[in-house]
This record gives sequence, structure tokens and C-alpha cells, in this order.
Amino acid sequence: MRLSHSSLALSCCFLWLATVQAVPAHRPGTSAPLAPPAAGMVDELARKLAVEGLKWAPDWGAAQRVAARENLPVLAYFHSPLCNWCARMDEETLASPEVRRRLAGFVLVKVNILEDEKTAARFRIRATPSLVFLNPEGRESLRLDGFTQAERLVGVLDGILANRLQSQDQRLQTLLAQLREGKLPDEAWAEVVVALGNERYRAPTEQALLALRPLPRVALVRLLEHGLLTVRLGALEVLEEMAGDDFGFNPWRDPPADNEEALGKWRQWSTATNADGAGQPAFFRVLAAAEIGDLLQDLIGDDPDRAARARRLLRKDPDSCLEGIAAFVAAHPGLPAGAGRRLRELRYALQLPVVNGLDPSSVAHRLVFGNMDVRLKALRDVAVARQQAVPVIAEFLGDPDALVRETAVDALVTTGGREAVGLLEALLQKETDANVVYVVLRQLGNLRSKKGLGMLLRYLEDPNEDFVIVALESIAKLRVDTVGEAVGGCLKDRRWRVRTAALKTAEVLTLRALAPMVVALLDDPDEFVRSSAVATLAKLGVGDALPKLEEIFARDDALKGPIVKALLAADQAIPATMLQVLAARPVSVKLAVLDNVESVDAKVAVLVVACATDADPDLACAGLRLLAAKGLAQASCQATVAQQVQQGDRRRLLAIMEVAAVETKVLLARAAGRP
Amino acid sequence: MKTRKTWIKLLMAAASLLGALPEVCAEAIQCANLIYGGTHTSRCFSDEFLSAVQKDTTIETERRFKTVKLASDELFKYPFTVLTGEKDFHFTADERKNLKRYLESGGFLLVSAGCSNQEFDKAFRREIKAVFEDKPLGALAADHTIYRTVHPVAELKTKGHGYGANEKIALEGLTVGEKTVLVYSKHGLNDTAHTEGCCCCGGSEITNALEVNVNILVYALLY
Repeated sequence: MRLSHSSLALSCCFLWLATVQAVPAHRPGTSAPLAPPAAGMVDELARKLAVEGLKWAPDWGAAQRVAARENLPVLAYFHSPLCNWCARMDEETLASPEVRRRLAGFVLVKVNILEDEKTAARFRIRATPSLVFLNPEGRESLRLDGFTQAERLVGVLDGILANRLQSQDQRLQTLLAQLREGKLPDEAWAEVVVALGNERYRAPTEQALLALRPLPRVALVRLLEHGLLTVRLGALEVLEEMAGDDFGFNPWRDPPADNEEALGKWRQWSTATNADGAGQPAFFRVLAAAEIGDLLQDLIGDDPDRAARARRLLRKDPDSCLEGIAAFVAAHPGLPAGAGRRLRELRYALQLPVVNGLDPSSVAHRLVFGNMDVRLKALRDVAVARQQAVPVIAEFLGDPDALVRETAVDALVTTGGREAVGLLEALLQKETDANVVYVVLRQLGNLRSKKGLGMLLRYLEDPNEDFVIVALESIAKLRVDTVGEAVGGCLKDRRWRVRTAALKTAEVLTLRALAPMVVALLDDPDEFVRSSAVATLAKLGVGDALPKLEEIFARDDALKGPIVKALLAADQAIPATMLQVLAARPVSVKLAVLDNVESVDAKVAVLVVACATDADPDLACAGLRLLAAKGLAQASCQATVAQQVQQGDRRRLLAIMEVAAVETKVLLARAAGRP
Repeated sequence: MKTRKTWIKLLMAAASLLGALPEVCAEAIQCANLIYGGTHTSRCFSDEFLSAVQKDTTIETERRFKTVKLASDELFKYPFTVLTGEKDFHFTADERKNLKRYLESGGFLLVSAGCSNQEFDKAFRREIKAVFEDKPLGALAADHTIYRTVHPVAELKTKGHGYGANEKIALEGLTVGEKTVLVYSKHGLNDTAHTEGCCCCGGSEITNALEVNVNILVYALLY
């Protein structure tokens, strides 16, 4: 296995820039200025640092060493086994998932003041619990004495992480400025190449290094002998970009043992007069198939350093890498599941673009390794990449979990991709889960496509009534008027829900040719279908059906309300014959009719006034409420309300005042500027 | 979450053994939205919580509602039903009788005033009083199981403005025996953010309705 390619495995090495940051990876050649830490970045940072539990250093000395080596801040928790508040701190504050996620960015040490009096004295601890925050150099930056609630601690930790991010940004900007001006101190070169291992700083650092003329060959070659692996890796990555070769240098070997020959070659290269060639380093070279194969082996191997390095290098040549992955998978049919997942993660990261805030690496990881919640969220996130996300989302249409397939369907349609209808058609041909089929049919209503309409029409004869209903709803959303025959067929369906849905579709699409069939449904055995038919008729036009409606009004109490509503919607007055019929009916029927009156104009005023002056107090109050709220523009209504106020019946007065109180509330709210 | 899922699994197993779950629980749970007052439909209530229950628990759900008439015998095939609306209404005599029988024989009803609608609120209070003269609606205590079956719900959140914004935010319930069989929200649990073609403009609906509805469904099925 080759070791000499240069891209880095720095993410697992820790120096002062070792904290992983949440910014999109940049493509080679794009400008990548340092963005200021955004408000959500700390959250994202904390999320990325999530670990299972809290890892405490064995003692203060060990914590200090780790902090200095890994450049991490320290949280020292001073406690005592006799302290009840400490127990509460353990059980509540430090058990909070929000707190634990953020603490992953700190070196933690728990100091029992009864056992380690020296450290307690050094920090002048007077009571427990006490939380002392220190920077990597060991200087105290903050102290929280006493019990601290999780919410407060989260705020404090966020503040520290944000400050840290800011100071790292400033430090790198200083270094890069010195680099560009040729004033970088010798001892700072190591810091610069280590910055390549951090996603946040990688692109600007790489650009700054490769833009230098003359190329800083001597300084970088000197770093190949540095004592830290992370520095050697960083230097080798840049050098390999410049030279187009690694000269057999193995960064994992402790220098100078066994690397002398390679180092000699590097030294020779660094001083050669033609080392810069035509003035351009061999940037972004195309990877050979064999190299890709080796790197993919590293990627799926056990060594995390090599895997990370392989991932970085492979990302530099996405097109060759995608081909290489396909060839690799074909050549290794028995790959273990874990290896397959790593390859899939890399493939998604290469396929997805940096667009609309999408971080391909992060989302690819979540898609492959996340739990159900995380995967579903990642699928929705991917849709922002629109057309470019389609190949990735399409793979999830074949996921074994129906919920994932449903979410993939939603995401696919959100992308607005032209391939969506074809992919959904293919899915429908093999899909056996009713929930997924339902979602596909629902989403076809959001895709204006002849093929999609054809698929929906085929489902109008399905034995599953849910499918027929959702297909009808989707057809209604498509706003096509060429579906009269198919919808008419559903009006004759034996299932009442289907007939109702077909009536709704006929109403939404104003399919006037279906009016005779709708009139026929006024005699449907199902009451809800009858009332739906009345509503549909209001939209299609009552026209010749008025006598039929009068006939039904006379015999069917349940339909009196819908018929009144339909007539009012069709801008028709309530015929006198209907008013006479209603006058003879019980109060409950009249109340049901009033439920269907939404505004009071001349066409319905007679009816409402009759109710408002009825002897029955329930009906009178319902009528008066309606008049007071929506009828005062009509003279007859005003007179009725005034007359009832004068008569002074307490219950009727309260009904009128109730409306007035609501109106006053609304007016006062408006005056106060509230919605 | 893993522990909670295991716990729910155990409860499901126990409930099945005791025969506490309706027959339909052997397969995926399907929930109904009701046609009531003869012609009123329960539209604009998000079905997103059905997916969330499938995702967050071991309970299998059908991720869509079935439209069912409150007065029909079909009602008894569904262990969980939803009733919502944005206007005044009256239950028919058959609906009142059927609802009483349904709730007293193991069914569960979630009622939501669509977009904090006051007319609906008044109508529902009037109608439920007519159905259960001796059982008033009462506020659910802060430590009610419903607030912690799956998601710990420390508070009900609303937009903070609109109708009902100044009124106390609490779920109300109706109890039969020792079980809450009906939950009502006058602010609204419709979760319109997850509905297509619906919005709540001017009302003060509960914004963490998704988690609350998940809890209510799990409570209805397991307790």
C-alpha cells in the first residue's frame, strides 16, 4: 500500500486549529475567505463535537498536558462527595444533552477537593460546586461558583466556543498576512501547514501557500523533518501539489529514520533552479486509476488517519473518483457493509455541490451514518441542491424503510427536477407500501406533467379508495379541464368517499359538463354525498337545478343548510317557498340552516330576521348574533336589533352585547397596533 | 430516545397481552378525521404527527387520516379520531349518542379549535356539555402523562399574538373512569405549518403541536 501521496489526514491530529468547524468545503480554485463565526456556527460546532459521554482527565496535571498539546480549553469541575448541590449538578446540569454536546470541545477534569487539596488551594476554591474555565495555556478565563443550571451553562459554553473561534480566525489571518508579505517567522510555518487540516481554514491557507512566488520550497521541505506527524503531513500535501511527486517520502515514519533517501530528493528539488518548472506547480493533478484504487482501500481500511487522508485526496478529483468508486465496487462484490457505507458517503460528498448553505461532507455523513431522525432531516436538506441532488435522493427511493422512501419522494419533488416524474413512475411499478404510494400520488399533484397526469388517471380505478381519493385531489391541483370523463366515472363509484372526492374535484376544476351527474347525486343514498353535491352545484351553477333543490329542501332537513349556502354562493335569493317550508320546521333545523349563513345581505336578510325575532330564545339569540355581527348594513336588520334592544330581554341583550364586546376588542387591538 | 422506544415497546406488548388495544392495533394504526354536524369536515389538521409516531416509537402507523362520519358505526374501527373546525356547529342527535358510546368504550377524540376559532370553541363546549352532562371539561394537570409519553413538553408554546393569545394556554380533557378519553385545545393543535393549503392567520395556535400530538396519540394507544 502506498503511503506517499500527500493530501492530509490532519483532521484527527490536534494542534491549535484542531477543532472541527462547520463551514462548507470549498472546491479547488474557488475563493474562500474566512467568514466571521455565524450565530448558528457554535451550535453546529457543538453538534459536530458530539460524543457519547463525558471523558474526564485523571487529574489536573494530565488535563493541562492534553490542553497544551491539543490546544483545547479546560473546564475544571471542583466538587466534594459531601456536597448535595454537586450531586444535583451531576444529575441535572452535566446530564443535559445540550451541555454534554458542548463539553466535547473542552478538556475536562473533575477535582475532588477533599482528595486534591493542593489544586483546590491553587484555584482558591472556597465552596463546591465550582466550575473554572481555563484557556489552553492554563489562564483562568471564567468561574461559575455554586450550582449552575443547564440553560445557563449552555450559554457560557457557547460564549467560550464563539470567542475561541474568533481568536483562531484572527490568528490565521495574521499568519496568512505575514505569509503573503514574506514576513512569516520560521517557527510559524508549522502552524500554517497544520491549518490545512481544518475544513474551515483549509482553502484560504492552501491558496495562500500556492500563490507564493517563489514557492516556499525550502521552508516546506524543512517541515518534513518536524517532530509532529500533523506538520509533516501538511507540508507533504503542499509539496506534492507543487512537485507532482512525493519522492517516496513516508510521513508516518519518525524522521530521519528510513526517510533519508526521500528527504535527499526533496532537498535536491527544493534547491533546483527549475523546480518551479514553467512557473506553475502541478496543482490538482488527475489521479490515476491505480492511485484511486489504493486510496479507496485506505478509505475503507482500519487506520482512521489514512482514511481521512484518502478522503481528502480523492475529493480533489471528483470525476475520476466517482468513476473509480464504481469500478472499485464492481471489482469487490463482497465488500463488508461498513466499507460500502464509507464508499457511499464519499460518493454523496462528491456528487453534491456546495450550494445554498449545503455542506456536502456533513450531509453525506448524515445520510449514511445518521439515525432515522438524522437521515430524514438530511434528505430534506439535500433538496436545496435541486437538480444536482436528484441522483442522491433517487437512491433513497429504494431504501428498505418506507418512511425513508416517503421522505425521499417529498425531497425529490422539492428539487423540481425533470426526472422526478420518471423516477416516481418507476417507484410506483414496484412499490408495495400503501403509505409510499399515497405520498407519490399526492406529490404528483405538484408536478405539472402529462405523464404524471396519466399515472394519476390510472389510479382512479384502483380498489384502494385512499389512492383514488388522493389521485382525485392531485388532479384537482393540476388544474386541468380535460378530465371530465374520468372524474365523471368516479361520481358513479360505489364508495361514498370516492363520490365525495370526485364532487370536490368537479367543483375545483368547474367541470360544468358534469352538472347533470351532480344533480343526480342530490338523490344519493349517502347524506354527506348529497350535501357535497349541493356545494358542487353552487360552483357549477344552480341553473336548471333550482326546482330540484326546492324539492329536496322541502323533504330533507339535513340538506336545508347546504342548499341555503349553495344558493347564497351562487348569488341567488332564498325562494319564498323555501322560507315557508323552513318556518314550519323545528328550531334545531333552523339553527342548522343559520350555521350555513356566513354574511347577511338582502338575499338572506328575511330569513335571519325571522330567526332573530323567533319566540325560541336559542334561535333568536343565534339570529341576533348574526345580525349584530354581519347584518347591520341592512336597514331591516338594524331595525330588528334596535327593537330587541328596546324590548330589553336579558338573554337577547347579552347575545347582542357579546358581539359588540368582540368587535370592541378587535378595535382596541387594532388601535394598539396588534394584529 | 432508545430507552423510551424500548419502554413503549414493552407497554405495547403488555397492552396487547391484556387485550387493551383494539383489534386494528395488530396492524398499523389508522386514525380518523371526523365528519360532524352532518356536513362539517375536519380539514386542515396536519397528519405529520402520524409519521413522527412511526419514526419516534415502535408503533406502526398509517400516515394518513381516514375520513369517517361521527354518526357511523365505522367510527368504532378507529382507536383515535380528530375533530376540528373553524365555525359554529351542532352535533346531530345520532352523533351525540355515537360519540358518547365511542368514548365510553375505549375510543379517543382529539378536538382542536382551528386557528383558535372562538365560534368553534363555544360550539364545542356547548355540544360536549350536551353529550356528557355530568362530566365537565377540565384543564389537564401539568404532570399529566400526556406531557411526557414521548416528548417532554414543559410548556405549550403559541405565536404569542392573535386570538386567544392572552388566554391561559392549557389542554383540557374529559375523563372516563381513570383515563382521559378526549383532549381539547381551544388554541388549536392543527399544526398548520405542516399542512398543504391551510394556514393559521390571526389565531394563536400551539406551535409545538407536532410533539404534543405525538404524545397524545401514544397516550391514547398505550394508557
